[in-house]
Amino acid sequence: MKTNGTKTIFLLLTLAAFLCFAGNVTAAEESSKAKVKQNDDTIGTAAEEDYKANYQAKVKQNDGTIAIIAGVINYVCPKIVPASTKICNADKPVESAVGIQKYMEQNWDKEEDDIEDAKMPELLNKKAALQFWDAVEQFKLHYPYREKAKKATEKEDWYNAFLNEEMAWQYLVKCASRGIFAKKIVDGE
Amino acid sequence: MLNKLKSTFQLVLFSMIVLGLCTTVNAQSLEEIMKARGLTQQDMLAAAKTYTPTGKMDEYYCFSSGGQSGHVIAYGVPSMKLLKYIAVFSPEPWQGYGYGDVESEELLNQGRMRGRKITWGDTHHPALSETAGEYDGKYLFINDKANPRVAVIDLKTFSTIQIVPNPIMKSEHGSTFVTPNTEYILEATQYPAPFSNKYVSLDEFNEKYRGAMSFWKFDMKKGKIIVKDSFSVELPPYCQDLSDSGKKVSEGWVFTNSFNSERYVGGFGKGNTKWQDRLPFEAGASSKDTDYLHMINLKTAEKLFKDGKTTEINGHAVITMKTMVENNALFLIPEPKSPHGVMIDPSGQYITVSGKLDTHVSVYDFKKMMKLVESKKYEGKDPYNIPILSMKESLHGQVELGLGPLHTQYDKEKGIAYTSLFVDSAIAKWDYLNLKLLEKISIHYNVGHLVTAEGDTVSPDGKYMISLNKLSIDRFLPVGPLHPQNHQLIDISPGKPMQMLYDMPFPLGEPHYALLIKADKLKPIKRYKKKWFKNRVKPGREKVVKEGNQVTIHSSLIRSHYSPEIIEVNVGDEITWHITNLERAQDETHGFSVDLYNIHGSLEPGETCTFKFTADMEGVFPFYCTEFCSALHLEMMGYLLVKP
Repeated sequence: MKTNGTKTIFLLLTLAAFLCFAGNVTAAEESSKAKVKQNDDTIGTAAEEDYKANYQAKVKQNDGTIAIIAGVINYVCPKIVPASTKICNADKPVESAVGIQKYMEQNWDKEEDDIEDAKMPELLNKKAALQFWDAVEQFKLHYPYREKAKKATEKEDWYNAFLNEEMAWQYLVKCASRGIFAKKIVDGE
Repeated sequence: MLNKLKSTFQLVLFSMIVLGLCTTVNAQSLEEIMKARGLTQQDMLAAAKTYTPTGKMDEYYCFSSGGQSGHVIAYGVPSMKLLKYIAVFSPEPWQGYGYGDVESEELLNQGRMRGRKITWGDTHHPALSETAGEYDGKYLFINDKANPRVAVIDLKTFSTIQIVPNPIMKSEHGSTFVTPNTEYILEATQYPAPFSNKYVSLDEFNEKYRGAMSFWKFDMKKGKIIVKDSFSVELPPYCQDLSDSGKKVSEGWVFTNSFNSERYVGGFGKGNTKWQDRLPFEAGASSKDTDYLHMINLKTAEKLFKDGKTTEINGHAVITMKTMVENNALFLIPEPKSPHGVMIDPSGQYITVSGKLDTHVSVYDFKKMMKLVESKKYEGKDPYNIPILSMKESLHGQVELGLGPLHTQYDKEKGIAYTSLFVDSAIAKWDYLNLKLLEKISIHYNVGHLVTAEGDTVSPDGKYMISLNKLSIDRFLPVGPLHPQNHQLIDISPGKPMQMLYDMPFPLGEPHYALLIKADKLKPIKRYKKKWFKNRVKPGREKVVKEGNQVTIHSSLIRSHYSPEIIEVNVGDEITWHITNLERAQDETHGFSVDLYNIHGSLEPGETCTFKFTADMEGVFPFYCTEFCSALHLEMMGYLLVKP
């Protein structure tokens, strides 16, 4: 998941465009290749073999999206938490992200306080960190759907595999949306 | 595909850079812009004083009454950026106020009068809760002149939490104003009427029509008016007008002025009564040179109430004028003709009264008034046996300010006040201790109230003043015959002439009064705590329960779906629909709307709303999120299927 500097910058710049256009267009292209057919009995379902292709395309897209998110994490992480915390690890961006969240939440009484009001340890950019925190929340929500998708593939239930993978992508988009807020804030935009 | 997109993106990026360069080449200098737009140095200075770049915050909140809209409007100062319309007496769909949810319907039902639901209000005077005479930023109060009611707004959420109808008044005006520690919220009558809800002939005006001052007991801890601990004082059938509570030396006393102490009843115009040949109300209501400033001893009134020296009218405790007079708790003092403002200075000693039809502003000295009270030196009594103090002996002095003086606010600088001049369309800056007019500034046009920063507290800030003008005439792009009002921001920094900074069109009712409070005094919450809502739906516990024709839906919503998304019921089913917004992110509000059922809710993060309705129409009813909440907003929908 390690990315070089130039590639990261380009990926960051194209993140919004990728998520808004490339993802949908790519999926549409794959779908088009798969020639989706309408099943008479079930709402919105197509032939199983088509969903297999759709699922595979979606997995590719999700992996690509996660790679881009990883780039954002690696870009933003050192601008949110001090180096002394040793939280940021470019080789393990997801761990870095969860690490930031844990670092922020160490004094947070979830029942009583808004996260914004929690007494937080030193942050380099609290405003960005708060947006980043929600991005991580959204990211975490994508896992169960990818798990369900994998389980469905074991049964060759390609329709549900595809839909669960699609649902996972929805959370990745929401994660990216908040992650872009965080990046804009650290960049002073 | 990705490569193609990369190329496209690079092209767009290149174009943006080229455009940026072109813009730089064509950039105008400040002087060129000023010339092109016809701006003066003074205009540029005004712009610099008000311009608040994106991401920067204002120094003050302004809370303005929303007039006939029944709302309160909040905006920032000095930018004059609109922040929120707070729904109070009128339904407001964006906030999901009065469109099917039990919570806001319950609030609007609190405001029922004689069993009737009223869906508008004529909001006039906001008041902020105070601690030791300073705004504390916790609660805001607002009155409804048309249907006498007082509402409480919680400034943690900027939403209405209580509406209390006045059981004895038929209209009011001198409200809301608070005592220095918000023990009481004041509400004074405007037009006299019988306290009962029965018909009483105008022939009995002097005997049976009455004014009153209500004291609504406020519990700061609960954030609630305690109706059973509240009471009213009966007043003569003059038109009581504006009120203010004493502070510091005058704490424990309450003041309200009045017009039509003549007790004139009009009747003008061919109608079906014997009064049709009389001259209009306006002719008779201002025939005397003076009216009466009322001086009420709240401490004594409170004791009388606690001692049970009251009469119960419509379930509300009223202290009669007779009881008040017997206990030396009610006095009158002549005040200039047709007054429309009584304001107490930061020291609590000086009371400014303006007579609309007098060019003078009168400054009363509370200490002098108290000497007369304590020595029981009266110059007479009114027809209701209320002692009248000498105006001459109560006055600190009078100053001629201009035509149609109305309301006064105070400055940080000792002795400095600002008074609105309605007829002159100007505001006068003057010295109320040395009784000197200092300066005037023109406004556009016909100013009513004015407000200075924290200008009615024990320590005003100065800095800014807003002129709340009734007419805008030629100030804004025309929008047809109904013009917006005009709020004009004025710089009142010390040591230099007042400077007009900004005109803000106010397009939602006539805002009477406003308040300016330092922004850092407010601590609004960012989201609701789920545990505040007894009907909250926990994630994973969503369900639909059907018992006979009672259908209870426990649903949740989060970016970007409802759970459950499809609900099936039968025609005639009674629906109770609890919805919880599970979001923990700030600003992730979701809407809820069911077409044709006139339902709309706004669910802020953490909030639960309950909607109740009868599925009385067969059909397919899509519901959807009305806030553009995420990239998948359009997909956030569901179906209510109503089977025959």
